[in-house]
Amino acid sequence: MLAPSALLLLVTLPAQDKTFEKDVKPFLQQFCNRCHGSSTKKGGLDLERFAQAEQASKEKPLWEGVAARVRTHEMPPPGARQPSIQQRKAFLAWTTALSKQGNQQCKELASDQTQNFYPGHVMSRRLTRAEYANSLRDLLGGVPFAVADRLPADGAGGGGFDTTGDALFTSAIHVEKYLHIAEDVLRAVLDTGEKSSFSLTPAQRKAARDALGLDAEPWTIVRRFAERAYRRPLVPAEVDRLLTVYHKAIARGETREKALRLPLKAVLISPHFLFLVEPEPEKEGIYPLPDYPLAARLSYFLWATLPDATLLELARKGQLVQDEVLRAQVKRMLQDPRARGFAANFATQWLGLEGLGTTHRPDASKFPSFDDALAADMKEEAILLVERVFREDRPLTELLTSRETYLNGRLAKHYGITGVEGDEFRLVKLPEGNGDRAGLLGTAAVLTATSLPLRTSPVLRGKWILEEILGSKVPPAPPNAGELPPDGKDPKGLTLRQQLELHRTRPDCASCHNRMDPLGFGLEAFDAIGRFRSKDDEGKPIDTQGKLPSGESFQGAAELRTLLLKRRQEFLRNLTRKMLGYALGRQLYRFDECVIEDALKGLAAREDRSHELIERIVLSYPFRHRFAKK
Amino acid sequence: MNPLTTRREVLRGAGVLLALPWLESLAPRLHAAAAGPVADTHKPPVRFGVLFFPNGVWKPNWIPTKSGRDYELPFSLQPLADLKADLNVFSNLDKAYSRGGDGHYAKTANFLTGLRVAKTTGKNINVGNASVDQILASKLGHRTPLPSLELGIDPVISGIDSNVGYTRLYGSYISWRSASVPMAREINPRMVYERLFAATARPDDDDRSLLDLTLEDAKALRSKLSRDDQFKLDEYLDAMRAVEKRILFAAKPDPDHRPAKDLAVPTAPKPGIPHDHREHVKLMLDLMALAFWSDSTRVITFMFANDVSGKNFSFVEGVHGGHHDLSHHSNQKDKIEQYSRINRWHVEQFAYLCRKLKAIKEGSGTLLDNCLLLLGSSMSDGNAHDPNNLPIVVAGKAGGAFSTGQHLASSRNTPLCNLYVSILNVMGVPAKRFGDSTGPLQGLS
Repeated sequence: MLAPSALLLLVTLPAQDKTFEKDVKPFLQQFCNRCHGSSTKKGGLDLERFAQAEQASKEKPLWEGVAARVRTHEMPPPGARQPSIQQRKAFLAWTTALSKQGNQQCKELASDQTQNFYPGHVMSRRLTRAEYANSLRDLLGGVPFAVADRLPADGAGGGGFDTTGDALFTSAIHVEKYLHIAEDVLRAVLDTGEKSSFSLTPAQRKAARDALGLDAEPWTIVRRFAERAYRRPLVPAEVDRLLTVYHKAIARGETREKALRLPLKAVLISPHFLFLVEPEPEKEGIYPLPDYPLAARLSYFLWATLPDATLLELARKGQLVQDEVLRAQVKRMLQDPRARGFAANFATQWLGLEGLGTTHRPDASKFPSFDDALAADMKEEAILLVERVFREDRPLTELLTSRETYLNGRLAKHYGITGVEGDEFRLVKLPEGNGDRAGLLGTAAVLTATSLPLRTSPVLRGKWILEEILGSKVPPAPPNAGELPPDGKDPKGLTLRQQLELHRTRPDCASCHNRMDPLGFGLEAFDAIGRFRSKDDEGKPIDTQGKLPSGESFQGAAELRTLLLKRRQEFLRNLTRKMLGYALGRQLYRFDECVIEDALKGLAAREDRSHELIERIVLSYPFRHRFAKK
Repeated sequence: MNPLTTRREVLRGAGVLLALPWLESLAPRLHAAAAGPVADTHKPPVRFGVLFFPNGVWKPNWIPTKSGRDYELPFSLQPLADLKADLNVFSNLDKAYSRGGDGHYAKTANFLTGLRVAKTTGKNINVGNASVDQILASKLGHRTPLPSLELGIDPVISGIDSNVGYTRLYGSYISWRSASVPMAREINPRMVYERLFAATARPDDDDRSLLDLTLEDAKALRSKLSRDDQFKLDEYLDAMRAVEKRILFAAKPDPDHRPAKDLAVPTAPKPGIPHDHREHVKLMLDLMALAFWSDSTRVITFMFANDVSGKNFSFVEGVHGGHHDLSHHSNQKDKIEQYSRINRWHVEQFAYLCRKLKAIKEGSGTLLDNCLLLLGSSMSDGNAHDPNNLPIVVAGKAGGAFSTGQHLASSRNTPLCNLYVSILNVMGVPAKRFGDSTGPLQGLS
């Protein structure tokens, strides 16, 4: 087995070496290293350490980040010495060449031929609380037991998602709740003569009981239930063991269903159900994920729940590992209603909407119309928008540009749109004007989540666009940075924009705020809870102009979107990276860039369509393999 | 209580019954449990509680100018005026390991461990050691139905901060079972209530046999997993055992368990999480008092909010804005005023809990006398993310082991962990070292 670094050495091209010496090193020395040198490391970035091309070419993502900043004239910052057009071009030519060169590395990495190990280890992990709730629902005939909120919230790690095993912990509280929820749910479904906190409709109760197949023998009932819950077949001895508690209960005179409750409850607190376990062979190395664990990876990625009968059947027949079968399943699964589980989890976490309405709550006296129902509607709109793009195989750029959205009566009223009544969400074409609302950036959910309790924050909105849409980094403000009044009222009577402009005259602040603030200003026609407005709190007309460091200027949300579309590649790369991090449930490493490159190539060939992205991820080497670490 | 009533019925009943039936059915059990021969001869146990608030303080309004007994309470501490004799204000304590790292996460996650917070977005999360409350819980926890109680107001912060390179979950936990495993917190008052009083109910034999069955399964499964995965499963096994212990405790309480005889159990809080921050916090504080009073646990940690919380504090008179936002006050007078008022609001809540505990007689004194209740934040000036001279107040006398009524100004850069060493020792867990300590804190006894 070759060490990855040795492989990288092999693929560094001599021509690139020369360019690095001629165009890149001097560029760094003249324009970058004063702030990003080994002793200064502003924003944690040290470019001085790259003495040789070989060393530099190992850090592709870093150079992509640097290139994006140089290309947009964000770096070097205004006021600093600027490179000539020629110098900038030559530097960017090297980074572009490096980007392409990366693909050659990928041929050498992590495949059946090379068997190269890299730290892309995915952990057996606990179900997140959303996955737990969904799984319970699907075990019991699709009855939506609202149990997620009874469990403690899960934190995130890796790529920023709760699917990361490293960041999922289990405390005594969890086990207490698992026990309690299982008892409560089973009482609602079975005839135990005991009260449950759930009251099911007769139809729901029937659906749940049918799913259990209660007419069968207890042994069969338990086996079927456990097989679905554990996402694999059971050996008879496992079923027998579960049945012991049933027999004991019968022996002491319990009724059939009361006794049956016990083995079913045992299944629901079993680690085989609560953990996505992927047992490993004895030897360290890479091996293809067998059918059943692959079915679970797939279903928890695209549905956030258990595999269904079709997936389990394909797994049983040993067909799921085939490329064509996987492709077909991806298509089928994304069109299934359960794909909502994916959209809800991915979208709320990607967009940062979990706290909306709770930890992030607009001021009640300033925004009296904001209540729990509206908060839920806001989230729902964002989820439905994302769900649609993935269900209907639409171009991913529609996430930014769609002029159609999902509204119900309450949200439409919030947006000032007439003709939509009732609680049901439906697809609505957004009218002209109204601030040119479109895509995710036009959703009240995002606009509210990126505001302060009492006012909008162009800074936060700009930062959000840079980080979550374009995947760029924004270093934290230095200590003692100036802040603006929370309600936007300046003692000197300056508008928010004027105050921010003043702030940007400080060179310390300028390099970041020149990037963030203008983007945020493009959305100023929407207030802190996402309503259209033409005047600010002081009654002054809203100014939605923004001028970026590149010199490009724009006005309003529509032109902002055009500008973002020009940076489409950054958006797609960021989204791909997030999606891969979500799918794998771990931190990404530089070798994962190969999957990202591959997905981007696929997207380019298919008009950026969403199924292409998901397919490439599902068919990728890291998704279908397990890196057994001893 | 009907002997056939199971733990589950008690859980369920909590929602329906009013306070009175609770008292009638529950109190006799508590009496019975307390009537053992050991119970009345012992000194009351010492309890340890931590109340953490985020985003630091404006020091001039927090740190008293004079040290010793003859000091004046600055603006933010004034709500403690009537409790001055029951507490100590500390200054010049800090955590050396929090001088590096980022502004928030590297300071909060180790608030009770004092060691380095590993910079990571997820892999190998580490805070150096189990936190001081969990050390206490592991040594003393067998005496109470719950070894410890972890409470909060906010759900765990999601996501990672890729700019500073830390997972945000670091900002959501001060209690760590081990260096790498945080303790999940309960934020729903009703569920805390149910947890507390489920503990005193009849043991559930069915649950016990299910846990046994499952533990065996888990052990068998464990052997098939890789090393990292085994650690994850160990957490689950530990959690299972903890629940099993609790069921066993209900059948046979530890002889040292000391439930109050005159316990007045209030009505169960309404289900769900209150929107009003004041109401939410008050319920949690009431439950803390109840947990100590009933000897359900002797160790509690509570987070008023996660770190970097932007909670809107406009409900406090003279405040217009979010917490984190105002903590970056840029040295502007108007914002400092508001920031200090937010600090003061937290002190008011602390004072409320202290008074509540002080009103409960226990042994020859009050419940507060038998507590060590620490109020603090993981930075001093939030504007500068200042890790030095942390705001720390401790109320209660640890059953007489600590003398109170002073502003204890240590020499500059004294480890906060020295205080923790002293606390471990008076709680009956002898320790020479903890975190980055250099010894016990001087001037406490």
